[in-house]
Amino acid sequence: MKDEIPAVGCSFPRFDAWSKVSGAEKYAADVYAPDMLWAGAKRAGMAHGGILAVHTADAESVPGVFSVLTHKDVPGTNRQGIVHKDQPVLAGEKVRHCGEPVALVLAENREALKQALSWIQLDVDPLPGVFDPEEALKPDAPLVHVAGNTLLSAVIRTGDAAKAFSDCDVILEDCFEVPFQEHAFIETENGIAHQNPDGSLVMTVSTQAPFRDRMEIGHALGLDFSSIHIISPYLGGGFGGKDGATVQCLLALAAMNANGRSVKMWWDREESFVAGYKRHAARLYYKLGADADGTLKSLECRLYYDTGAYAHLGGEVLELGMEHAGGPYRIPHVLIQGWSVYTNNPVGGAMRGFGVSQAAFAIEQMMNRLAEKLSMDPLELRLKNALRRGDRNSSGVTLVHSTGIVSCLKTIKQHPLWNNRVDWKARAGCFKRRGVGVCAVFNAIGYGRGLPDSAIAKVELTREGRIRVYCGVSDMGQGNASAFVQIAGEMLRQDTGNLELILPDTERTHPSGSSSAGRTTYTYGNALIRACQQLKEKLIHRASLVLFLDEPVGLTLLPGRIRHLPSGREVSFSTLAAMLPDSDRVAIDQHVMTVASDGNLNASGFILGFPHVLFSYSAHLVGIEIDELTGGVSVLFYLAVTDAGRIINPQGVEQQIHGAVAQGLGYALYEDIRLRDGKILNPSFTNYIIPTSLDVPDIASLTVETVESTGPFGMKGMGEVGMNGPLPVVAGAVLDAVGVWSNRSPITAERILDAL
Amino acid sequence: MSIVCKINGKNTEIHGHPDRRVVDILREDLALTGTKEGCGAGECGACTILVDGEPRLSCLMMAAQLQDKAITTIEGIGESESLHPVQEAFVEHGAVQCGFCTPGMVLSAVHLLSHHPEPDRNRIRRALSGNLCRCTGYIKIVDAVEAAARDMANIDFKIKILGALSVGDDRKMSIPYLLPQSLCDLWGMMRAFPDATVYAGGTDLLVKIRSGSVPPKNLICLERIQELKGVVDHGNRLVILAATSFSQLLHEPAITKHLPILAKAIACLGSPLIRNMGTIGGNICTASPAGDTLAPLYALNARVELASEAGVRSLPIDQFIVGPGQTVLKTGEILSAIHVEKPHPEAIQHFEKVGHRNALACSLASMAAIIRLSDDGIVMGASLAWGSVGPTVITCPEAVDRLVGQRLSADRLAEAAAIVKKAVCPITDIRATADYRRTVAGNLLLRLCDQSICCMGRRE
Repeated sequence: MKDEIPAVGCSFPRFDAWSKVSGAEKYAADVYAPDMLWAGAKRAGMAHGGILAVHTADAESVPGVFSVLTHKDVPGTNRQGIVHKDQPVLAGEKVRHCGEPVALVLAENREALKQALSWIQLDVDPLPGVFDPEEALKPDAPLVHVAGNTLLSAVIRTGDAAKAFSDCDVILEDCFEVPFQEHAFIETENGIAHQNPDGSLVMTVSTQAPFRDRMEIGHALGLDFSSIHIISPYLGGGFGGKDGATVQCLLALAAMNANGRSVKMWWDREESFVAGYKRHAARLYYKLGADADGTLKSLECRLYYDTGAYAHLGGEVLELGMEHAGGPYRIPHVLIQGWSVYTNNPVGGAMRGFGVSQAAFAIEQMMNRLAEKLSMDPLELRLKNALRRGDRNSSGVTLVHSTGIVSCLKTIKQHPLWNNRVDWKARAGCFKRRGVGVCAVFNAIGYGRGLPDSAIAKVELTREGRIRVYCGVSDMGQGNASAFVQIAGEMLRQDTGNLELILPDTERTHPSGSSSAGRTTYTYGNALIRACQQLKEKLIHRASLVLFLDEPVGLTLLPGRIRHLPSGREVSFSTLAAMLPDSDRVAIDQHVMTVASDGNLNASGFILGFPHVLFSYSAHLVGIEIDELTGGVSVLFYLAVTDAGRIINPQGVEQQIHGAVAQGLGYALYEDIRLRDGKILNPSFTNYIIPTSLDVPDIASLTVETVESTGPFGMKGMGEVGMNGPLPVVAGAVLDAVGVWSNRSPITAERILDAL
Repeated sequence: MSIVCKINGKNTEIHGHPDRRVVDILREDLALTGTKEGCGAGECGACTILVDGEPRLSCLMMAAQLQDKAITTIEGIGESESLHPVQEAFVEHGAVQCGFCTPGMVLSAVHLLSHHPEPDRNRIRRALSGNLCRCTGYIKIVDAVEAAARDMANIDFKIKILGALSVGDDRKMSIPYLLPQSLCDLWGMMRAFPDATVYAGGTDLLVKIRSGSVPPKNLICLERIQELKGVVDHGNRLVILAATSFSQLLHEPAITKHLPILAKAIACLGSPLIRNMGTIGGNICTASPAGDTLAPLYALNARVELASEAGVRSLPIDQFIVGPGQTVLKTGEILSAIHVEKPHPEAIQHFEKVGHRNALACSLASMAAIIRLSDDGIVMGASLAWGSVGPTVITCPEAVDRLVGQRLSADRLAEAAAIVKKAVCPITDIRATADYRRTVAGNLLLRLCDQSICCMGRRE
């Protein structure tokens, strides 16, 4: 590792890259213990039914089986869930989706585990299932939960949409559908846990929310959450799919029944598909009205999000979808209605672009259609309506913070890829047709109103005289932990060799919320800046004592030491550290994200997490080529222009944009959880297609630097916004290339060829 | 029993079951957890290791296959204080995000650069196309490999990787059972274990065993039998030995020169990792209608040679494969070789596969075409075959008849394509509908209108 002072604003190789590239970094999956047991869950395999019996005797007789547990062995409420506690750890009365766990096996080895799981017999009285959110809202629909199939319904009403349509020169209507999407992180859900003789529980787990995990486990299993110790190493990918309990409650239950032995649970790829959370499938009805010059006037939409069998974050995901349903545009009159609906499908949850990716497809395709209808340039149409700072967005929130969508669109307008598009299209080869698409997207940052978005940062001068950052929010690969090292290095003027990082650990770090919502670097970073400032003042003060200075002035921090500039005298950190008591070597501070102050919003039904006031923005441009003989789409160029405030690490921003766009191109072109009666037909990488290195073009990423004055060094969260562009921008390019209208995703070769 | 091999340069003895997966031995027994597992089925490449310097999937290898081999895992490439130039470049160029795919990526990249010191971006992308990454979009990984190539221009890192090759003679091990070294060994083992399943690369069989669709039994692996490897040029005829890996075939001048149609099919089969392990004989015996080499072999009128202790017989490939997953291979018999007549040197050899993506793709439809044109563009002879559009490969003599004797034109091809669409009998499955496959099967014939294809085989 190179020793240099990381400068904010400059590309800085990740702090974790060295250990990851050499194979030395230990992920949760890499932790094994001597004399360890393996745990696995028996999954229902059918979508809806009443459980009559779970026969475990055969499984118990398998040599090497340690124990087989059912719901009867679950102490506590047997219910997990982030907001709504509706999901059994082990189902007892009812099966609500195919991945429902009904028994838990502990075994000496994986062979015995596999055999025992296959020998558990489940007696179920099948019930008719419901697999479509609109069907599930009908009065005679089968009930997934006794209280009804509506998890959340909400309305945003601004102006008078119905009346405004009568004044519109053009009105367009359409319906859009998107399927469930898999996170497809390469490290599947896993953890290892043991129970100490005093009853306390220690778990190392691949998680985005270690502190909240304690609450979920404690509630479900009747444990005092302070007796649960969660350790969260780097994740092998998360994207939202490890936000909320995956293995946690099952694994804790296993550890409580393992006589103090360690228990490891690691879902295989198929189980990850069947039991893991998904991006919500959705159906979105849109009606958009505008003047003849393209000025948007009125929007009415109805959003149906399929949350599957359990709530998870289904209500909050819908809320964000509704909040973004109008796109980054000024629309004076809106009526946005939404329903998050229980079905017997797999469980919907958080995923990068949380509820927004679905709505972005719909509103941006409406904009493409409007441009076509009015014979307007699709970029000009967007520029004309794009939100400016000071505008109200379609939720009625006044945009008082950085609002860079116009700059993003203008950057594309001036780009050669846009200006040369006509020539470029004309150069398509035999049987090929080319098209160019453009889109404008945005994504909220933070938890939103009703759930304080807070972080607590701790920074320490270690006994050895090094600077240690205690990071309380997981790093699932997005690089926030590394950004914290960079911020601490910048603030305290320390080189990387003198910096240490402690990853989230509920006994060592402070609760700082989940790794999600584009909030990690923003919120924790703000707290860390304050903590560093505090430590800096403390160290300068203490150094002045060592140096017998009358006042703590003229002192500055340098790597590993403090210098008194007027005299040139220095005190090393190690000297200072040796002098200070433990409690004095530490600085702790916190930050809570700002929220919208608008008091007159006409929105009802929202519980937590609405509205937001901070957004990142992005405009994307794509060039595609369609093969007329097969319908196949090749993405030939891609440009993403992003407003992320000031950039802390340009390399890190590019990483996020590239990754989000690649994941979005998968969503646009291939990715589709195929379901029949709630059962996933493609639960593996064989038939659930994610892009390979030969499917993603070189993506160009540019930023327009606004300054977000509330953000650390002027930054704002940008890990999600890139996900929202690829589907609509590709859909627009397909329309441009061959005139084929897409209102369903993925936009497969077969769908294009059918329409040609 | 114990298995002796070299791991990261150290002689290592492995005890326990010879049918344990290599990835488990590395991670659980040897604590080499830099080798990751992401799918267990050869679809993600997180478990990539180098075996005698060549990237392989450790989730689809059994312990027995390690015998006498030199294994390099990520831990043997470099440590965080002394990184390999490829690793340095990954760090510097931001190629690491969550890092779970990184070890496999690095190993694939190290192998690429040891054979192609100056790869272009497309070659880098191809070399990494069996390693899935969900974080990076691959761009910075490709940047890093490009940069590493520049950094390594003056250093011979090949030696470092391959230096671990030789295993000392001091440990004379008994041959692990089920890993025959010769045909003679093989016949003995097949006699001793008549119900054993024979495999070569394992890329199909081990996946099926994992999913439970094939019961685990005694396994006999053919990968060490040198008599089953290579390509023999007999003048007019090529004999392709059955246990030759796809990667090796792509390096055989006899294949690339005389059978470009087969080389094209192999080049888009699975991923580089699958091609390093899978064999042409395995592809034929799996007898999947989507088997990528089958349409070219049908178009080439290949014959298969079947060997047993009792002797050898040979059959046309279309008589060997009798249905999806079904062949006439008898107990005690293996597919030993494929015999192919070389096509006329001026014949156009065209192959196209349609899949959902550009690597790791299962064919939705494929077409192999060998066409000879006269100097004035008349079709003198044609051999056509389609994959994935019927229970076995479909040849369509009526379409051939429509083309032969005619000038190759868009109209003739459209007529023949219409015949093809009637002749194929595809199914609807998770990947595509029958209608789509039918349409594409016909459309692929129209591709021959593309001047860039039809000029290729013609004399200037």
